[in-house]
Amino acid sequence: MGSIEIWGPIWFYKLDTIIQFFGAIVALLIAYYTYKAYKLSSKRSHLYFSLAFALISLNLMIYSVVLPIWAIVNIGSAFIVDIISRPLLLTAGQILNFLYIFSYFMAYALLIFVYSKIERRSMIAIVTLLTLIIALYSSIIARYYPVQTFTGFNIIGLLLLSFIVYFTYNNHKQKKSRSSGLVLSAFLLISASHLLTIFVSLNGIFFVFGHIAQLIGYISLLMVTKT
Amino acid sequence: MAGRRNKLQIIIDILTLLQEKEKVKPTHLLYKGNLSYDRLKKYLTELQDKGLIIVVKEKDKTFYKLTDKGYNFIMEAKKIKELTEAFGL
Repeated sequence: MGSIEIWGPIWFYKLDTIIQFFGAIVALLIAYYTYKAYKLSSKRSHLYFSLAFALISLNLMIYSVVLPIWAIVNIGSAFIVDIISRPLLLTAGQILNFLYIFSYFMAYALLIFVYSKIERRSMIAIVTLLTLIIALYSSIIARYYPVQTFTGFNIIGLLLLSFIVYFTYNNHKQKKSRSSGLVLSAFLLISASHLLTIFVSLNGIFFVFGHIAQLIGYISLLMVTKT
Repeated sequence: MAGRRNKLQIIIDILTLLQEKEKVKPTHLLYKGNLSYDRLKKYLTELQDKGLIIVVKEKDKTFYKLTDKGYNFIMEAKKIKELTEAFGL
């Protein structure tokens, strides 16, 4: 996922894009509802939360769009290559790769800010800058070390998500509601998807399992919005 | 209605009071809403501006009533509140 390469079995190529697109829609829906919550409450945490899910949606949308473009570039015979020059497509791919990594890390950083009740703008600005640097660096090295970047992306994602799982677990322990349970299981499943995809280099089937975990995670989140 | 409430919760509380009865006097809202006069007035003005409630004058007395838009709003606000609570916000 991180370095925009094809990792899983061939039969799964289009299905992964559909799963990511579905996740993007669910994330957008949560961003929309929490933005409405912000308009009602004027709480900055609601705004950051909404922004975080908008970034997750952007990240998943990029995946759905980037993979086909990348495939066209790699095949090198598609008619689009004749319209837009190959170097330009590669540059676009790198920019999208940067946006992909940045949006994902920034989204989870924002969620951690919300759950840790950190609202200081200077702190958020520093983390944003650091995330920009990490994303820029990752998008550059991804071209030369795709496996390492991919693994690194999933490990960082897993680390960030473990904080969110911890916060949502505490929330569920307190509320003990069906919705809070769904939120906890959703973040657990998304974490599991990162854990599984770390092992993709061993066997491509982990890519499939990772996506299935992610799909169930986003279905859980969708169920929260429908409660 | 005890405890520290955020703006969303206060709005839901006010609208729920108006939903329970056909029309409500400001004093009743003041008492049940657990708000200072100034804060209540601020919220009522905002809700009125948004078309969620209307003022009704009857025999020199002022009442507040929930509009259809207000009714739909409270349903949605409750849903949003449940969502934010589910996420622990």
